[in-house]
Amino acid sequence: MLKSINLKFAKIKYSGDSIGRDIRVEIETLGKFLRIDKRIKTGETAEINREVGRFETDRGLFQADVLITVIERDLLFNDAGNTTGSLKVNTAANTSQQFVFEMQVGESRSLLSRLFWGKRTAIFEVTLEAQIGEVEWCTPDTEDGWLVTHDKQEKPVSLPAYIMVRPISIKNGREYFIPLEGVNRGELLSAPLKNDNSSYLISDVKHEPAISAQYSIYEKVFILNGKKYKTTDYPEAPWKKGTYNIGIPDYPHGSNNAYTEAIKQKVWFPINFENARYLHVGARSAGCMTIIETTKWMEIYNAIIKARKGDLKNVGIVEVVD
Amino acid sequence: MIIMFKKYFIIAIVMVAMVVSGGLFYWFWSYDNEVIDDNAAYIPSQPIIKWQEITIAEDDPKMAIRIKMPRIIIYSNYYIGSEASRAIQRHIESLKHDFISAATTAAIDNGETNILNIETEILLATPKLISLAFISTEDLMSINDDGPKRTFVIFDLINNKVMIEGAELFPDTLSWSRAVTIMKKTILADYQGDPSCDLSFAPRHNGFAASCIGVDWSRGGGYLSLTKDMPISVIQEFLAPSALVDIIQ
Repeated sequence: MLKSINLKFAKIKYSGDSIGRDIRVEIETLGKFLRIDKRIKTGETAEINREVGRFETDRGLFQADVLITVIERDLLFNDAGNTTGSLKVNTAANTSQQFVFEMQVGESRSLLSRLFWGKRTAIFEVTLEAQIGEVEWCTPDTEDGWLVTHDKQEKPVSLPAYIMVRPISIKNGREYFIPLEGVNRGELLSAPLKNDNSSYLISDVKHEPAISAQYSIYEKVFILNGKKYKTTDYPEAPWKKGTYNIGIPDYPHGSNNAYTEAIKQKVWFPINFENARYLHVGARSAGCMTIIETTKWMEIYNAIIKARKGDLKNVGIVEVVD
Repeated sequence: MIIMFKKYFIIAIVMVAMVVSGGLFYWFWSYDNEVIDDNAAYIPSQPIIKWQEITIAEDDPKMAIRIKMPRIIIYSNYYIGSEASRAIQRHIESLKHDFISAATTAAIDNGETNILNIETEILLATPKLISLAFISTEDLMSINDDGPKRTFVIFDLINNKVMIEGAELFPDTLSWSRAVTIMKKTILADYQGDPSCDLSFAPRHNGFAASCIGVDWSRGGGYLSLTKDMPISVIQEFLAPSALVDIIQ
């Protein structure tokens, strides 16, 4: 069984002599690199909890070399120290495992300063934490944004990109899995293995935090990440002020040949306001929030498709204002 | 004397250079600002429809695709005819893409052939527009038949472009929205269930052909494809007068 290891920079402890407060920590392992700047003084421990990287393994013991560098940043003289070590993660254990690396950083001031104050040495303890879990598998982002699968009733079911799924089995060249989110959550679906026997499903997908968008009824603009996108609406089916969920795409809409510049035009995001309201690209509206700047649709799609609100149904919210 | 001659010679050279560069400037300016009107040469004339049948066979997965499609010929403007034919090809490519996706990942490979059949129907062909319906029927291995799907292309011969969502048939967006709302209500009027579908439509003689393609949530999100032909009276009041003439003539 393939396991996923999520390696985190958990915390840093600063002890010994004080050599300054502006600490930079660099962690490098298996091609992943994390740099963190933190203000911390001696005697303190700071929680960091930032991901260094995700790794996959099918072995019982996962080993990797790690290089950790601690730098106290000064205007003239940076003080730096580093250590190398080895991570040995038991992937059979279900609990998280911690690895502590200690290093000393000596202050590298001028000779005159050393004569007066002596050489000061700080001790840093960097704690890395490995969390073991099943590999999270997701649907791929296909050309038109939909992966067509097969359900138990022998019907085709289309899934949008980056839907988290749980693989169940592989039988007769087909992989069976259950979506864990979206409108098809809980259904047993299948897709074939590719010609090289690899899966259509992908791992190493990092879902992003929920989006928080705005829609101005008066200006007819959809605002996302500070950018405004022109829309059209239908005055006889007006939007009402309020905050509404934007859902994970439900099924393929329309055709894929109306706008050559908006290649994922069949992906519409449902909005839970009245019936059949969507955020999508187009030229006209029968009640939807229709983005008419077709060249910018992919910008919106890319910003939304991986976002998750945490309720297994939605990618975020849109606040409708005047 | 020689100095005087040189002076006149230089003045003459400068004048010639000015005349030549002025001429070139005028020529480039008028070239850049030339209004090229694609439609200038289009004299509205009845399009000629020629039919062609294409059969495609592919392995892995096994697929057979049969397409009956028209080629549009306009004797008064070959270019516009070929643009209309290209729009038809693009639409058929889109239908093929959907079928190949489903045949590749949804159909269960049992050695038999997945079949796609696309029939094309000319709903309306006037000197100003061509309206077509494509009826695509898929027979995918180990997948229950979804029934045929009817989609449309409307080509505006005057403006030499596809009418996306049939927008140019209406004078403004409000009229379009009203017409679409009414057509969707009409097509769903007798349907029992919990449908969620997107309307597409195209004009035909004295009326409209419409489809609503999507899912029915009361059947667990099962595929839904409804079609209906409706008389012009349903949305006549919203149509642009120029479009109305074409549809009722």
